[in-house]
Amino acid sequence: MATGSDIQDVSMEEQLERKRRPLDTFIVGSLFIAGAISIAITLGILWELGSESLLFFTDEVVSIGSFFTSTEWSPQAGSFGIWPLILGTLLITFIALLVAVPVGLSAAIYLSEYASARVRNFFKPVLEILVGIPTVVFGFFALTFMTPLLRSIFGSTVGFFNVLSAGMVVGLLIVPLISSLAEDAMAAVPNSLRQASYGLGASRLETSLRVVVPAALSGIAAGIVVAMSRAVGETMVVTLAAGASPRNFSLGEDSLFGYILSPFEGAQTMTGYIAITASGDISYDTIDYNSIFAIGLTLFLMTLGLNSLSRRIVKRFRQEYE
Amino acid sequence: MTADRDVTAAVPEREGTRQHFDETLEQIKQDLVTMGSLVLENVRRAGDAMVESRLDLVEVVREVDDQVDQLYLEAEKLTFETLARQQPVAGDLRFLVAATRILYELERSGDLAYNCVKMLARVDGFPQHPLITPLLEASVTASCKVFAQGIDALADLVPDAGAKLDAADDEVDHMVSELFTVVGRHSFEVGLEVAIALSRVGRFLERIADHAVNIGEHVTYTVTAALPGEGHNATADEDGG
Amino acid sequence: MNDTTETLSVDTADMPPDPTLTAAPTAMKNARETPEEAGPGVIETKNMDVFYGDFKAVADVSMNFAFNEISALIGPSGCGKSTVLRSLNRMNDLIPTARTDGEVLYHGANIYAPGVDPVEIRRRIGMVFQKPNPFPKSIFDNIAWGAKINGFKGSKADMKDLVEGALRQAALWDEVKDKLNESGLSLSGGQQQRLCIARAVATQPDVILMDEPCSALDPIATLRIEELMLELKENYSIIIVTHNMQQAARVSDRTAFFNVELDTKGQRTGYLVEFSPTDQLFTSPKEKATEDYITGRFG
Repeated sequence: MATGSDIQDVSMEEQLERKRRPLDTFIVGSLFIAGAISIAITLGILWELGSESLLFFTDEVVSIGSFFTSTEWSPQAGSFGIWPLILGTLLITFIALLVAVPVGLSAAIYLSEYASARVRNFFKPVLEILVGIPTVVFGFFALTFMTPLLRSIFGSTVGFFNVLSAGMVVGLLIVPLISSLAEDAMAAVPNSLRQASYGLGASRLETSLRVVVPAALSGIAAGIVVAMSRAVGETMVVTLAAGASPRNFSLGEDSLFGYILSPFEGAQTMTGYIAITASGDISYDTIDYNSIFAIGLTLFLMTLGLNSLSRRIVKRFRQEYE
Repeated sequence: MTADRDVTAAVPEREGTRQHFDETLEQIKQDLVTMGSLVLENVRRAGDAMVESRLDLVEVVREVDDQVDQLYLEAEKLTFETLARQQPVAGDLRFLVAATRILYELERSGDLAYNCVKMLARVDGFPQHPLITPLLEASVTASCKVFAQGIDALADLVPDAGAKLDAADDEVDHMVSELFTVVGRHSFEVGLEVAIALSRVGRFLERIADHAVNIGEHVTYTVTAALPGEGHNATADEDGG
Repeated sequence: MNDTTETLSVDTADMPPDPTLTAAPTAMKNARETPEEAGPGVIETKNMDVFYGDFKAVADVSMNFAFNEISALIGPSGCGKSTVLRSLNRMNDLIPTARTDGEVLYHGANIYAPGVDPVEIRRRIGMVFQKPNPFPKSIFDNIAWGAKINGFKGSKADMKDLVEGALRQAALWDEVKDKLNESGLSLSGGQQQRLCIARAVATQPDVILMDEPCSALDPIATLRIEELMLELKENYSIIIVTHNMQQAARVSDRTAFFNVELDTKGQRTGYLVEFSPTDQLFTSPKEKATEDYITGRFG
């Protein structure tokens, strides 16, 4: 009977030797190159933003200090304080989250814990249709439906361009993001935890809210941060519905809730400014043009900050089940 | 590439989910039956030795009894190992527990056969006597008959072995009791030492039959889980040497 | 007043042993009551069938579980023992297609009667699962949680007492008393399972169901849980499903053997073969099928 060691001409060491697999090497190499290209592109964008922003900041009209401290953005008057634009972005993001988080989370809880398979198979695709609607349609929806509606409710204090309308519609836009990610997070909670909860005499609602949601919290939080990044970066809706006037303010003189944080006035966002300015007829290498890059860089850094925040939140709240 | 080895040749036919265990149990039963057969044969041999006053058979009886003791040690070891390793329950457990007890009964019976011929040797043979010798032979035959019945009950795992053997034992008691009476009456004809030896032999033969009855009861327990109603256990007094 | 003990001048050690006491203890055991004679137990099933849709998983189960005893359910896979266990506290309700016919009486009341709240049932009939499943909360919160959702009214000190009591009952207090705020998942497998037992007793049930509680644990942890079961039965009635027959033999007072049969449609339906005192079942079971199973000569 032949055994492994009977083959005389090949020693055991040689038989056990690592074999060369050229196809593996090639594929692994290609994968690495693909990853490297993505990083290279990101670095390229950063470089471009950075170098153009430098042109902006080295212009004699602009001072970096006032860029970050001034609360007036009037390029024609030579004021380049970024805060009004940030204010606009944050106001809209805040309103969007106010709408999207309860709606998205509730939808997720319903789909994950209550819905039968049939209901879920119908509902989920419908929710995802929202994702497919072009943002310009959302923008017009805000302009032609939302704003008139708000005006009919709140009267004429509601401006033609207002952040409430834009914010609510952006919120609607990001609901599928939250509901989808939250539902995935809850589905990942092992069933054994639900069984344990039921075994102790908990109702379905108690189990959903007090066991499943806390256990899925890191995933849910990650979903919310993704939605927040999306809201920050939303351009079309805000351009159409929030207007093109930066909400210039001064802290001492303007009323906080009456004007600065008012939802009924318009406010240009960072993204809105970039969109309008880039598509206008400003010529290249003017200061107005270069300001786009400075704002773009700010936006980039803001999103970067949000992403790293999200990673930290996920890590902090992650509950391990095993 | 290496040549394929034919591994299928090494895989034996398997039937049943506890083939190895079943084989072990069968082995133990066989050992018991073998031991029983050896003892039975030895009792007959001792009987022949006593009836024909053949002192040459004494040594043979001793050697065979040594074999029985050896088999006892091996069988007991196997039984305990099986108890430890196989977690037996129900019928298997009852069989193994009964086996340890049956081993004891067989080993003692073997010793008793040897004790008989030791008595013979001590008085240098039994003289022939018209009344005593036939009774002695009858007692041996009766005792062997019951003992053989016990071994058969073991081999066939008869459910009512205990009751049957208990009934059969009466004949042995009766026979031996007659032997005592006759020996007592004619003790002077054969001499006091011989008479005493004969009465001890009678006792040994009776106890061999008692051990057979116990074997029957252990068999009944194995099959039916019924413990003896009135314990007809082996007597507690020491046997002579 | 005379000390009555002085009137006993005989030292009982000198008296001969009472023959009626030393005689066959088996005689006393054989006289023990059958489940029927003992009266209804804490849980009694009557002709219970369990269906998953059209499939009959378990047929016609009638059993009486006695108070303060450990009952074990054994049998080959697919025989329905876990299904039976889970129908005792209506955990099968969580499976949409499950349906239970027949009656399950808990202290005489049918838990499947319309209008019965399964949530209340599950508070009173607790459950421990095969794989330890503590919540990803602290050890303290794991135990307090069950009490809280069942409407615990008491001060923080009362809650601390409840948690300590539960942990002591589960023989876990000494090992975790200094780390109650650490996650329940930081414990070893055996400790986690004891935590789950503590969590179950914190809702003050009187019956604890255990579905193969030790099958995910190493032998030492298993033996500790078995010891715990023997202690717990003083205050609770315990019903366990186990595929480890030696465990059933070690721990239970009564054992039920379930088997599975193929019907004409090729469906495998479980049924109860026998439910006997454990010492009897493992020395001389009533049914041949039981003997074949426990001696491993099945199939």
